[in-house]
Amino acid sequence: MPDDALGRPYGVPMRREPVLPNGVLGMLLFVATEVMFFSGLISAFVIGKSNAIGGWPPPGQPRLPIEETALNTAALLASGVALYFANRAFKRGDAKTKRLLFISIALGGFFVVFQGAEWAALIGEGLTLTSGQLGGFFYLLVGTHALHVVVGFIILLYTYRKLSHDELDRFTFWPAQIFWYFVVGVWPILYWQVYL
Amino acid sequence: MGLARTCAAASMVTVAWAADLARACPSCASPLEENRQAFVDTTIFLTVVPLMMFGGFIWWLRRKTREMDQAPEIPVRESLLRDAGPFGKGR
Repeated sequence: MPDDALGRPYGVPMRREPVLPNGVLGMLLFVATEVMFFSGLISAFVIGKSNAIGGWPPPGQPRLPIEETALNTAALLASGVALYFANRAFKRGDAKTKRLLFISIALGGFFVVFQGAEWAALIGEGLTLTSGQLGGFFYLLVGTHALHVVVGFIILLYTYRKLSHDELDRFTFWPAQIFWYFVVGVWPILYWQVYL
Repeated sequence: MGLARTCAAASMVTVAWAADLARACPSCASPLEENRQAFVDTTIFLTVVPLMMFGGFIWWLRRKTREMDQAPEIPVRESLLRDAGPFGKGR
């Protein structure tokens, strides 16, 4: 086939990929709504806290486990870092991707289990959804986040399965990462507002 | 033009005055200074967050589009473009 002045074959039109894959755009829009949802919850909590008579946390309510949750926070942040390095390894086609993704999932799983244990202990101490403002806000905010962590955990498991079958592409991996980074990123704000 | 501006200014003053009459300020009646401050802070927060998100996204999109415009393009055979949709240049 003869070439044109630029060395391109005749009859072959140029094409480029879209700026943003549909899956990524969809996930970004979803995460944007989630950011506003959490912003609303956090704002309600801040106002509720400022309105409390007798200071915050309300007297007579169990104390939240600050130190233990700090450890759990570190685990979730480490999970995000592991996912970041998994993505870098994935781009290079490195075999380490699988191990790093597994570490990320395991740390996410640790966070969920730890939160479950923490909730069981707090319920045992009398902090329930209806025990007062602290309990109501705590389970609403932390519970909503926990639900997101579980969903993100399932998404990461799905990507791990695809990776194991050599079927993972960046159009699947990228949205999964966006969601997990959101879940990881929102937690320190919740920790700061709810626990500290 | 002058009349339009006067009307706009008068409307804004009326709206601000009406809000005061209606006590449409959730924190104004609160005796707690901390509560009033929390309302102001959260209002700023909820205003800034979406602006930053969309502003950041548009900035990133512009940068990415410019990068792609400057990048060398790779020719792809017509047979591969059959289901490509509207992204093929010159199609």
